[in-house]
Amino acid sequence: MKLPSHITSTARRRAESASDRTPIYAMVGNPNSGKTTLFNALTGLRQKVGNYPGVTVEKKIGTTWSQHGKPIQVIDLPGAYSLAARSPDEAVLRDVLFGRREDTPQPDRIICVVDAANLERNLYLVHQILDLGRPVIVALNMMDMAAAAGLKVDAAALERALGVPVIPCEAVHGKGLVGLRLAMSRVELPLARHRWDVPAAVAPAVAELQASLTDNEGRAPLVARAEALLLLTDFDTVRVAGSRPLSARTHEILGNWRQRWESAGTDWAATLIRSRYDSIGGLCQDVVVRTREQGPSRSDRIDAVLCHSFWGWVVFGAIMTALLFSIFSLAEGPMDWIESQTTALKGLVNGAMAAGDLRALLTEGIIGGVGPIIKFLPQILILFFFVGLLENTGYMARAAFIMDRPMSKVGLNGRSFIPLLGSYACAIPGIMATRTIENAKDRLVTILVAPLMSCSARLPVYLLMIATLLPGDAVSAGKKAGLMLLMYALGTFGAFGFAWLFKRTLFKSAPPHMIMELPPYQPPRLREILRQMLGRAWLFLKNAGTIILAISIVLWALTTYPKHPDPAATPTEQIAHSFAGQAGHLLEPVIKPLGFDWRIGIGLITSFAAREVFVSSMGVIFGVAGADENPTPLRDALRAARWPDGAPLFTPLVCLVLMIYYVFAMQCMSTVAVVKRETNSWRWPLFQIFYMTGTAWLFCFVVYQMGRSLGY
Amino acid sequence: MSANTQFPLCQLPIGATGRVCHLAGDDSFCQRVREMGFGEAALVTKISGTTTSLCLVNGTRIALNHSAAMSIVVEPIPVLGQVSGLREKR
Amino acid sequence: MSARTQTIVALAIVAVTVALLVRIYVQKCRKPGCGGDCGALSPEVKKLQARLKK
Ligand SMILES: Nc1nc2c(ncn2[C@@H]2O[C@H](COP(=O)(O)OP(=O)(O)OP(=O)(O)O)[C@@H](O)[C@H]2O)c(=O)[nH]1
Ligand SMILES: [Mg+2]
Repeated sequence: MKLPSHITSTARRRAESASDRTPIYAMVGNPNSGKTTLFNALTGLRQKVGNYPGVTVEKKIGTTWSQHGKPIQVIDLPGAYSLAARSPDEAVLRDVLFGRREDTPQPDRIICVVDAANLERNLYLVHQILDLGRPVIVALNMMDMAAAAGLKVDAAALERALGVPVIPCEAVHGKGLVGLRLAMSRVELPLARHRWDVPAAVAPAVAELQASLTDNEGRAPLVARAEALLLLTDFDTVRVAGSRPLSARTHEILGNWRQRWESAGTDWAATLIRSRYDSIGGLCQDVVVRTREQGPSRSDRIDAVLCHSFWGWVVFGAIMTALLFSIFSLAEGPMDWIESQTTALKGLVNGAMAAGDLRALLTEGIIGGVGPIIKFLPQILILFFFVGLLENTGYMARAAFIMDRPMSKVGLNGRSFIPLLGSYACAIPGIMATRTIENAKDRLVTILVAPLMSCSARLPVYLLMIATLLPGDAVSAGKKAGLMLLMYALGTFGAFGFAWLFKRTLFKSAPPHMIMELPPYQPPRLREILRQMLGRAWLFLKNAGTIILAISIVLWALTTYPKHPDPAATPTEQIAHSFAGQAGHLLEPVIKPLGFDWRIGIGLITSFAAREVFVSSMGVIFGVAGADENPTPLRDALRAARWPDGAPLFTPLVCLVLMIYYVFAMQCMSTVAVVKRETNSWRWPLFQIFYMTGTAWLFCFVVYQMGRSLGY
Repeated sequence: MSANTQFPLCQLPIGATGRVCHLAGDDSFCQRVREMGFGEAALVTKISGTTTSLCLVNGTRIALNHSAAMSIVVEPIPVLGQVSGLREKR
Repeated sequence: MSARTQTIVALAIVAVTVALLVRIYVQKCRKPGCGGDCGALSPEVKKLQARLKK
């Protein structure tokens, strides 16, 4: 790579001090410009990539190797349109760059990932970054998209104009990585020839603030200048300057200038932005050549349908239906196979060992507890395949677009729908994704309702109940899918209803403005989707093999001891006598009005760890009742369960009520912990447990009692 | 072009192109809109949407909800080339 | 294997499991998340939140 010679000397001192330790690079750029794809390609990690803005919301550190085999640290960061952060994820970027995060070292060098198809807007952030005066490498990503849009971007011209290395790449195809690594391996990186002068109207203010920030806050001169520029565009000093309050002197200067401008009536924030864009515009004229006139692109034509106020909904509905239908129709075979394998394994152990506690632990505790969970692996895979498809093609942002109208009816906007849609997979990444929401109140409301969306952990519970409710092969997959759709709809409407309620009572605020970029459609990358699916499958199996296994073993012990005094007691009598049975009996008065007995109560307690534990608990508790020699599938064991008076326990009504309970109840410790972390208090997770589980109980009570009185 | 042809973005017909005249709304919203290259003098083409609008600005599709589209005032550009005064870049 | 040894072995397995569960629980308390890949492991968000609260 050729260097403009005048620059190298300026960087020498800095580079020399950094050369003997591991250099730290930060990946910075607009949302969806391909930072994480590049980060993964460099470090070999598998961070989540998706074709919508706001995939990454937390920094992630990885290691790559220089040309000479030396380690280099790379930090992947959330995307941002500007250093003047508006949402928590953008604040992560700004705080890491300014060295305000105690857990993250301040990056020495910055890789600006730039979307070549959209150079002008992407260079705005680069322009701000160059102000920081740190060595910068520009990765000109998505060159293929730019070419497809009829743009010819001249990397060499951009390199000459900016004075920093500019490397054209196509991160998804692995192109340009060698050049990038080569640039990263350089001991010396040129500092930018930054030819932007602060507009004359603002210059005295910037100079005065910069001086004060250097003298009173001890900032380095260039950082002080960048921070001064941010302070002048953002009134919120806490947001800009971090938790340390500004010194009185700086405050005074800022106040003075603000007053002066206000009385003059000039909008100097706009002046600053315009002046940056003017400078960028001049640059782009030399760098970007439009090879052909741009008509509506393919994405525009697709959007005319998918974002249509009628057809958009038809497509959205069709996708959801296809998802639920395939969960039932495609998974049948593999599920039966897994079930027959676990049954055979049980029989094998039963045949090989004499009767005793160890055999019971193996068959009833371990196989009985973990087997029914593993059975649902195919369905989980299908769900994540669909989620991956939506995320990869770019449909996610379109779903947010069509959902904006219903969301605005409840006082939120379409942006909140992306976290909610993500919560169909798992509430935890969904709650993390709320960091992209600018308005703090909206963000909290979204966090509060996100766990109501039916996550993948509920899938086993629903499926078990549907299998018990609608026996075997007599019922078509369509009917089962319909029932499942009902549960998903119930959760979704619940989330909307509560959002409406919260926005009206606890968090009153005007309907927020939404401005969101819709990325171009991309063909789904099957390898990427497959990798994400395998990752989820591994996680699911790991969970089944650790937590669920452990809980099953403990639950088995709690249902086995103390032993019933009469050795000839039936398994049900034995469980009733055990510790777990006693606990279940304590709970029974509370849940009897819902049609649940103490054995279901045990499942409700254990599934506080995670919802799918309910299925394994049912496996441990009711699996025991099945005869030792010919084990039955769990759903048949459930159907055979009786109340003491001989009435069936799992009537269709009870199955339905149980599903409704799991739609609403907050039964996930990990979610509680994450909500606590994201809201920084115990108040909201506790409130969430209370309101969700309370609603679940009330709703179930009403449905059960009404169903009973109607004769079900 | 007279000032009385200016109207909020949400009223721009689908398929039409307009030029942003000024931004209403609170400071932080205006700033973000400008930073996204959607500031005064930018050209927008509406792709679809009634309450939520989908616009093409500078080659990017940007979705705006109703209240955001209300705060962006545009003037329509009749047919490019007829009004020579509208040609200059920004 | 006699019934008695079976009971002893079973109880030993249960004891080990309880110990492991406690360990997992303690670890979860330190860094909660759904298994590690969703980025939910950030103790520093607390500070960030405190900052943004204002
Ligand atoms: N055609 C093309 N697509 C790319 C290229 N690089 C990345 N992508 C795609 O762009 C999308 C966004 O990539 P990410 O790596 O998630 O982007 P990001 O910058 O990390 O996004 P955020 O985390 O949301 O800020 C994905 O669908 C990628 O497959 C490229 O060079 N060419
Ligand atoms: Mg990313």
